[in-house]
Amino acid sequence: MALQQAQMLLSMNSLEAVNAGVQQNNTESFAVALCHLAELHAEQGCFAAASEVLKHLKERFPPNSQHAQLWMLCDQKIQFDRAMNDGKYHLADSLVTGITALNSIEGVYRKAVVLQAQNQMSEAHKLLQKLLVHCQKLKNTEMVISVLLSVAELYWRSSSPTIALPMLLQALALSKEYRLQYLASETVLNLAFAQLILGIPEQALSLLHMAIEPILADGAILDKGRAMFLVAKCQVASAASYDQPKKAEALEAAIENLNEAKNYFAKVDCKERIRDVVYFQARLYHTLGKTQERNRCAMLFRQLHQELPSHGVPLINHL
Amino acid sequence: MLRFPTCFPSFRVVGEKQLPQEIIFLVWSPKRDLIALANTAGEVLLHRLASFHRVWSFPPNENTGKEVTCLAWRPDGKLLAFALADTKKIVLCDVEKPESLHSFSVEAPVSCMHWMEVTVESSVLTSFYNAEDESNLLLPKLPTLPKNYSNTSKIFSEENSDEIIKLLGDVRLNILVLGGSSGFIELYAYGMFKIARVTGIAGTCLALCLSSDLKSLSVVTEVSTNGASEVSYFQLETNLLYSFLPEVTRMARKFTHISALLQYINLSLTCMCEAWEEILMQMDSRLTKFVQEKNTTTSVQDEFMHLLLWGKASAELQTLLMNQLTVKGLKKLGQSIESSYSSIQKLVISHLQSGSESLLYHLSELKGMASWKQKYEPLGLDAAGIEEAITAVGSFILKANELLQVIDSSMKNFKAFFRWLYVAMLRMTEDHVLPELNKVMTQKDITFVAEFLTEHFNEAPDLYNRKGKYFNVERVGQYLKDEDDDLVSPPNTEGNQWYDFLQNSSHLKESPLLFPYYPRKSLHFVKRRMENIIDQCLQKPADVIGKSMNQAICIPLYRDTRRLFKFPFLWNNKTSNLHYLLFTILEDSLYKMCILRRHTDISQSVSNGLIAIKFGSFTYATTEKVRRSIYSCLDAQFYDDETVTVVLKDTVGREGRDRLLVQLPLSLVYNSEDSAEYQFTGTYSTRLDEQCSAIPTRTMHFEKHWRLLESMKAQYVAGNGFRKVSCVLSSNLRHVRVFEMDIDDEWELDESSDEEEEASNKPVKIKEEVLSESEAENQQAGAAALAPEIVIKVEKLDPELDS
Repeated sequence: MALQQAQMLLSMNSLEAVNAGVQQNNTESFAVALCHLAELHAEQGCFAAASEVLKHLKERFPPNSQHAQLWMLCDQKIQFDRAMNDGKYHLADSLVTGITALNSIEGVYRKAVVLQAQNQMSEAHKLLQKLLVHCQKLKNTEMVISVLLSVAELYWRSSSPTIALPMLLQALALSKEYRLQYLASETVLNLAFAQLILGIPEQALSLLHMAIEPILADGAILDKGRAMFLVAKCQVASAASYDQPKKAEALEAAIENLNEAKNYFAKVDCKERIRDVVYFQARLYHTLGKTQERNRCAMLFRQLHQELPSHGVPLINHL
Repeated sequence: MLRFPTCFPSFRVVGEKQLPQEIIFLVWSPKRDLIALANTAGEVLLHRLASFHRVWSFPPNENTGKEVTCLAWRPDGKLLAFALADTKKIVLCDVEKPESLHSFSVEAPVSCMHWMEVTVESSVLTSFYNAEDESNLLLPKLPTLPKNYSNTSKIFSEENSDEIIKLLGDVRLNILVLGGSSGFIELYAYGMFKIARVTGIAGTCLALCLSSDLKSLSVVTEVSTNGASEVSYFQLETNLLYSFLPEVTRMARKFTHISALLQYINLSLTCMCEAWEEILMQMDSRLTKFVQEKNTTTSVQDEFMHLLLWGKASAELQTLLMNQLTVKGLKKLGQSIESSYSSIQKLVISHLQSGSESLLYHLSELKGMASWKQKYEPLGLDAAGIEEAITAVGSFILKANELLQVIDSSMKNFKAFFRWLYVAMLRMTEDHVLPELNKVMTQKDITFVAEFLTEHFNEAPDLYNRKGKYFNVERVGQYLKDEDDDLVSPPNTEGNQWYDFLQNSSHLKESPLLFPYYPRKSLHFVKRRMENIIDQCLQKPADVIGKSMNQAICIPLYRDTRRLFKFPFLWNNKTSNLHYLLFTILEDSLYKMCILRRHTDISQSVSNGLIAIKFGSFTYATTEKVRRSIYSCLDAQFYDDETVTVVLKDTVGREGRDRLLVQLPLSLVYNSEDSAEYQFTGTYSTRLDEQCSAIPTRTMHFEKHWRLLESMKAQYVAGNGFRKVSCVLSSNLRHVRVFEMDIDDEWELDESSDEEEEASNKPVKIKEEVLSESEAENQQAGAAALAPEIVIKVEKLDPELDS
C-alpha cells in the first residue's frame, strides 16, 4: 500500500512539470516520497536500488539545502539496519550519533537496540524506560509500541517472560486502537514467542496464524524470516508430544520452513540468523537420522560461527 | 430417535393450485416456508406455504436468460441460485426481491446444482472466522454507484453498501456445486468464486451432492446411447478440501472479495464511459472539416494565433466560428465539457481509486497467504503470480491517476480557451460584450491560450489516417475507449524528474517493487491486462483442487429411458456422514425403489450398502381395512435425515385414486436387529438392474404416514423436513398440492371431530414383515387378486378421509 502511494505521488507531478520551471520537483513531498521508496527497497533487500535513490536525492538536494536532512536520516537508518543485520554492532553504534542529531527519539531508540544487542541489558532498560515516558508524553504511539516491544524482549532475554506479557498486551491494545496493522502483527509475533517460552507451543502456533499473513504480505524481509523461524520453532516444540510418524512429519515441515527463513535472511545478509537457522536444521536432521544433510548444515554452521562467534545468547531466547 | 410413530396423523392439505405454466423444477427453502419453482416459460417463482400464495416472480429476460434448468437455495435460505441454459449463466437472487445480485457465466449449460454448507468445527477455523473483520476496519467503505448505471448488477447500488457482505453471507464456507454435460463439474465457494473444476467424469450430471464434511462428492451421471441412457453413480474423494479446510475458506473468502471488487471497478468504468459524451468530439470534427474545406495555406494553428494576436480572423475562420460553431454552440460545448469532465473526475476519485486500493489490499493479503507455502502451496496459490497481479493493479492505479491529471489540465485549458474564444466571437458579431468578460487579457492569459493552441491545434496528417480527424483537442475520451490502440496523444512525461531519474537508473529500473507504467496505453487496456492477470492467478487453485479430486468409486446403476427430471436423488446425512442415493430399478414394468448408501469417507464402509424397498400394504387407520396392491415408485426424496417421502402408483387402482404419498422411516429400513439378513450379494462393478435378485428387498407395511392423493395424477414430490411440509406435483406439471406433514397438537384439538384424532390416540404399530423373495412373490400374487375388491371398499371411506 505504501509503495503504491509513494509511486502515485511521484507520478503526480508529471503533467504539471511542463509549464513550470526546473525546480518544480524539488519539493518536500518529492523528497519524502523518494526517501520512502529508498526505505522500502532497503527493507526488501534491494540495496542497490535503495542506494541509487539516495544518490539521486543527494544530487537533487545538496547537503546544506532545506530538505537535505530527510535523506540524511533515511540513509543513516538504512546503514544502521544493515550494520545490525550483519552483526557489526560497533558500526551501528557509531551511526547512532548521526541519527540522534537528526531525530533524537529515533536516535535514543536505536542506541537502546544496540545496547541490547551488545548484551548491556540494564543500560538498555534504563534508556528504554526514559524513552517510553517521553514518547507517551508526546503521544508518539508508534514509537511507544516499538519501545514496549523492545522492553518485552529485554525481559525474556533475562528469562522472565511472564513480566513481558503485560507489556506485549499493552502494545497490542495500542496498535489495535490506532489501527497499526503491521505493528499489531509484530506484537502478535512477540506474544507467540512469549508463549513458546512459556511452554505452550500449540497456542503460539494458532496465534501465529493471525499474524503471519500481514507480515509475509507487506513485511520487511527480516521480519518475514523471523516469522518463519518462529513458526518452525513452534512446530518443533509442539511435535515433542507427538508419536513417531507424526513427529517426523512435523519435523520435516519445520525444516522446510527453516529453509524459507534462511532464504529470507540470506536476502538481507543476516549472517547471524542464518547461523542460528543452520544450527537448528542440523539438530533436526540429526533427530531424523539424516546424516548427510546434517553434516552439510553443520559445516555451514561451522563456517559462519568462525566468522561471527556467538555472544552467548541462547538460541531459544532470541526471536 | 424416531419421533413420528407416536404422533403422526396423516398429512393435511394446506394449499392447492393449478398453475398456468408447467413446472419443471421445485425446491423448498431450507429455512423458511418458501418454495421456489421454475416453469417452462423461464420464470422463477417464489411461493409461500400459506395457500400457496405467490411472493414474487423473476421474469425471463434477455440479460439473464429464458431457459431455467435448475434451482438451488443457499443453506441459510437467503439466496436462491438458478441456472440458465440459453445464456449459460448462473444467477444469484435475493430471497427478498426478484433481483439479480450477482451472475456469472459457465462453460456449459448446467443441468443440476447443489449448494452445501460446511459443518466441520475446529479452533483454527474459529480463529480464521474472527480474523475476517480486519479489512472492514482498515479500508474505507466503497461509495455506491449512481443508481441509473446499476441495472446490470444490484450489489453496489443500494444506499447501504453492505450488499457485498449480504451476498457473501456467513463466513462459514458454503459451496455451490454445478454439474452439466460431458463431465462438467465446478465448485463455487460462496456461490461466487470457482474453487475447483473437475474433469474426467463421463456423461451428463443428474444429481450432485458434496458431503458437508467435505470428504467426498457424489455424482450421478447418465450416458445416453441409442435411446436409452445408462445411469451411474460416482464418488469423488475431496480430501484436499477437507484437510485444508481453513485455508480453503480463507482463500475463497479473499477470492470472492477480489472478484466482487473487480466487478465494482468494471461498473465504475462503465459509468465513466457513459459520462463521456460524443458531443465532446465536436471540436475535433469541426476543425477537421474546416481543414478539408479551407483553401488557404495557413494552418489552423496560425489562423487562431492570428485571431489571438490581432483580434481579427480570416474570412474562413470567421465562417467556421460564426456559422458553424455559433456563440450558442460554443456555450453549450463549454458546459457539456465541464459537466462531463467533472462527473468523470468524481468517479475516478471516489469509485475507481477506492475500489482499486481495496483490491490492492486484498491482493497483498493473498500474497501473504501464498508466501506461507506450507499452507497454501498445495492449493495452487502461487506467490509469483499474485505479485504480478499486485503490480498490475499498481499500474492501473497509476493510469487512473494519469487520467485524473489529464482531466484536470484539460478542464483548465478548455476554460481559458473558451473564455477567450467567446469574447472574440462576441466581438465579431459586434454584440455587446459583458463588462466582466471584457477585462483586458493579461500577458499571462495570452501566453496560456497561445500555449494551448500550439499544443492542441497542430494538424496531424497521420492521425487523419488512423482516426479520420486531424485534431485531438479532447483528450479524456481516448482513455475510456475499449480499444487496443495506443493513446492518440499520450501525456508528456518529459521534464518529469521522477521518470527521467528512473530512465537513467540502472538498478532501480529493474526493481520488482515498482509498478510499470504504460504511457501509451488507455485505461481500458491497463484494466483488461490487470483482469487477465488476476484471473489467471485465481484460476490456478481451481485447476489444482479440481485435479486432486479423484474418482474413487464408480457404480453403474441402471439403464432406462430418461423419465424423471430430478431423479435419482442424493442426500447427505450430516450427523452420520453418509451419502444416500435413491433410485429406481425397472423390474417387470414396475419401478422398485432402491436406497444406496455410502460413507463420505471413502476408506470406510457401511453396512446395508444397498437395499430395495417393497411397499406391501397400507392399513386404513379408521377402519382397519387393508389396502394391498402392487405399487410402483414414481418419485422419492429425502424429507429429513430419517425419513423419505415417496409417491407411489397403485398399478391396479382406478384413475384419480391410484396415487399415494408415503413417509418411509429409514430407521425401519435399517433395522439393526436383522440388518445382517439384508446384505447385497452382487457386485458393484456390473449394472445393478442386471442383478436384481442379489439386491435384498425389505417389504414395508404401513398403518400410518401415508395418504391417498385423491383426484390428482401425482408424479413428483418435494419435501421439506425443516418446515415439515411437502409439495406434490402432478404428472401434467401444472397441479400442485401442499401438505403439512407433521401436524402439531393444537390443530389436532381443533379438529377433534376428525377421524384422524381417533387414530392418533391408538398406539401406533408399523408392521414390518420380513419376507424372503419367494414368500414375497406369493404374497404379491395374492395381493393382486385381492386388490380390486379393496379399492371398492376404500371408495366408501373417502369423505371422511378428505379432511
